Amino acid sequence: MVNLNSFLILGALMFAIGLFGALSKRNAVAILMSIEIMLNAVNITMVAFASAFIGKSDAVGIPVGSRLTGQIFAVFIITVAAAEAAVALAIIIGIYRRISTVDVGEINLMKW
Amino acid sequence: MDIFSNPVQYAWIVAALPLAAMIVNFFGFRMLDVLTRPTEAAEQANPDAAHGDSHDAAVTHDEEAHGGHGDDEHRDRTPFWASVVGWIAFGALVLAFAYSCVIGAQFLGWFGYPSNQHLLNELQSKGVTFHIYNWFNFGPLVYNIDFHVDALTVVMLVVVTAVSMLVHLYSMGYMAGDRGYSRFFIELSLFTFSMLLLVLGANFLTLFIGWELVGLSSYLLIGYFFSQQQPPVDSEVPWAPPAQVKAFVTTRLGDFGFLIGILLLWVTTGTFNFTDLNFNTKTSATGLTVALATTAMILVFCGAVGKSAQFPLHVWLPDAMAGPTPVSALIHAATMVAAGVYLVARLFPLYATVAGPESLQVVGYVGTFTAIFAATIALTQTDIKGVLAYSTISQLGYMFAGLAVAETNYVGIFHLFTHAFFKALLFLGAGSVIHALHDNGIGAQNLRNMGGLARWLPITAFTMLMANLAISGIPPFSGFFSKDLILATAYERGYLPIYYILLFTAFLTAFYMFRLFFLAFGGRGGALGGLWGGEYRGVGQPHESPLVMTLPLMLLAIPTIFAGWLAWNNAFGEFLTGGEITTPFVNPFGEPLTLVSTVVALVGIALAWAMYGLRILPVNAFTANPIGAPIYQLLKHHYYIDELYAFIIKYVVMGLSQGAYLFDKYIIDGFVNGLARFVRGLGSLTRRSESGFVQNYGAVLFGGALLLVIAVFFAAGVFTR
Repeated sequence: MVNLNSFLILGALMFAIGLFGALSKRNAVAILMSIEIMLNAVNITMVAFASAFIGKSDAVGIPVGSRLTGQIFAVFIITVAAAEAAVALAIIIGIYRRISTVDVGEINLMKW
Repeated sequence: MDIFSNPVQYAWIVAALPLAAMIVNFFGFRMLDVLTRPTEAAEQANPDAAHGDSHDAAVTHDEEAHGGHGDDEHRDRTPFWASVVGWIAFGALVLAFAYSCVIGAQFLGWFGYPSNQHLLNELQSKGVTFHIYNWFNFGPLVYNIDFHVDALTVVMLVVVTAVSMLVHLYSMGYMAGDRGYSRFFIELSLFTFSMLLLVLGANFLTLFIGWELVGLSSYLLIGYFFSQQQPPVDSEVPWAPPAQVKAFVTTRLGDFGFLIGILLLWVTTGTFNFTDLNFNTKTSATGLTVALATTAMILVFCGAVGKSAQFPLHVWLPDAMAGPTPVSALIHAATMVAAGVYLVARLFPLYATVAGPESLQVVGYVGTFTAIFAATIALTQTDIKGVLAYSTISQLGYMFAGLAVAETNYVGIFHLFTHAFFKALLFLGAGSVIHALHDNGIGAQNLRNMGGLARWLPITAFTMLMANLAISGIPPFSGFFSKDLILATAYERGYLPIYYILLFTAFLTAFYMFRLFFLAFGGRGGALGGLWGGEYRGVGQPHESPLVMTLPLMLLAIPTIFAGWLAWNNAFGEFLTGGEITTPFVNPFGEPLTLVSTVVALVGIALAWAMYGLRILPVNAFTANPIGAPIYQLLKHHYYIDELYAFIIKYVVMGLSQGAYLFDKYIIDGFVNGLARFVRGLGSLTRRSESGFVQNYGAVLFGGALLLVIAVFFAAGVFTR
């Protein structure tokens, strides 16, 4: 049965996969892709919660999620992700031009 | 006008006059004086003289540096604006003196005073306090500038303004043509204002402001020749720049104790006010034990020791003779050094009734010891001002002894009163002698270069003779009454050691003062057995000083001769203490004790006459034999006190400070630096964790977030549900 929990589990799994990729991949472009996966995991969670609570009220009778908050957030995140991808790719290209690699194992400029 | 109908109310005017003169002169006429000087080009041509007023600095003859005169091209006339400065300062002092006399008249009930009998009664018993200004309040600390006027204040006001006025007049002649003429008068005004503020102050705060200002102005005046670049040729003459620092630092040493004493009294009684302290202080009620009060009063006396040049802080006063001679007369004979005596007299009820008897005993024995100690040094000095300097120290010792042995403070204050006049006269006379000789290219201050001066300086010689007779205690001169009062009080109240020491000091005083007189004014072949005129050992032709200088001498001779009679029938004592003298007046001429002290003084004079006038008793008889020679050397070098202090400072103080330096460098700094080095070492270890790999940072970030989530779940009871 497909209910809210299924979407949440999917979101959590996608987030964990993305996190693992972001922390373990050596290629900067792959890390960027992993981050996109994490962002989309959040989007799924947002939309799932929003659709699950439409038309419901909380204990004191205030409507919950009636204003499409989750969907709006998801659209924002997609936009921000696009912008972030553009900036991140620019940074990666800048780093590549400078030290001829996109292997994060060899990039330690943020050291003491 | 109210100013004249109730002058006590306006006593602040006396202090305000010299202050106003100083301000007007400093910001007005001195500027004009400096601006109108035709010396810009001359100073450029002569680089030595290019330090403002420091014109005396570069002179090669020490007598020029000490005579207060500049180079020949400047010395004839005082510039116009400079003389305006002098006249304004003098005029302010004349007015201040006149007003002091008016206040005195109100006290005595003369000229139709009192208009207010109640006020007069209050004045004569305890005096009145006038609130001038509330400086600031800080919790229980109330800082008021208050003036207190009682009989003691009036006596001091009259003495200070009278002597200062005459010194101003005298300085117009003595300093004539000096480059620093206007500066000199401004500093004199500042000094007079400070002393009047000190005398008028109703609480420790006001007094202390005046006290320190007196120290400052004496620093300025002693260092009048501040740019003397090398010590004077005559080794007995002090050198101005070190002397001014010495005077300031030495008196500061005493002030340190004074401050602690003030604070002790404040902490225990909660007041700075003299009237409260003197008449309303109860030991034990306010946490002030007798031992604490005694300690506080001895500490306050430390300030007096510094300011009044008592042993062991007397060393600054002989060196203070580096200032021009009128300064010596004003500051170091009549007024500033009297500040310490005044302080003890002002707090006398506190000394006598609240504190234990030890406090006054300390005062008395320090004074007595200083009296004989300084008198023995004065026997051998050949610098005319040096003799007078040690004589001043000795007489100040008399004053402290007089305060300590008596029931009330009038015995010491009366000697202060008479001494101010005759000592000022002696110093001004010495200045006149220096003025007479300094053109002649010899050491003008050295008694060896004088002799027979009475022939050329009859007025100076005669007035000096009057002052000598007064200080020696010959009846009926003023010093006789005041000194005899101290001696008689000491004897009758059972202070026999003090009596005998002071009696012997009286003999020494008569001897050294007449030694000075015979060496300067008399000598071999003079009239009256060498008293008047005689062989002149200097060169050139001495000349009598102008009237502007001899007039103050003549005016000072009047109180020098007659001031003693004020003590007749205890008049002075009753005036000062509000009629509380219990001891009946004894006619000093009818008392065997007086006879003893007079004979002792006459023996001293006779000895001086025999040795230096008649020359029937050679000086070598005392100084050349195996016993006398070392004593002579000891006295000649002032008991080597200066050398002892130099040794102590060089080895003990510098050694201690070297130790403190090393302690600071290796222990304190070592600890602090070690701590810093430890932190740096720790940092160099932990900075290894900053690898620079973004993924490490991300792992730590999310690991931390995970830990937080687990912690929150744990706290919310997710795992235990």
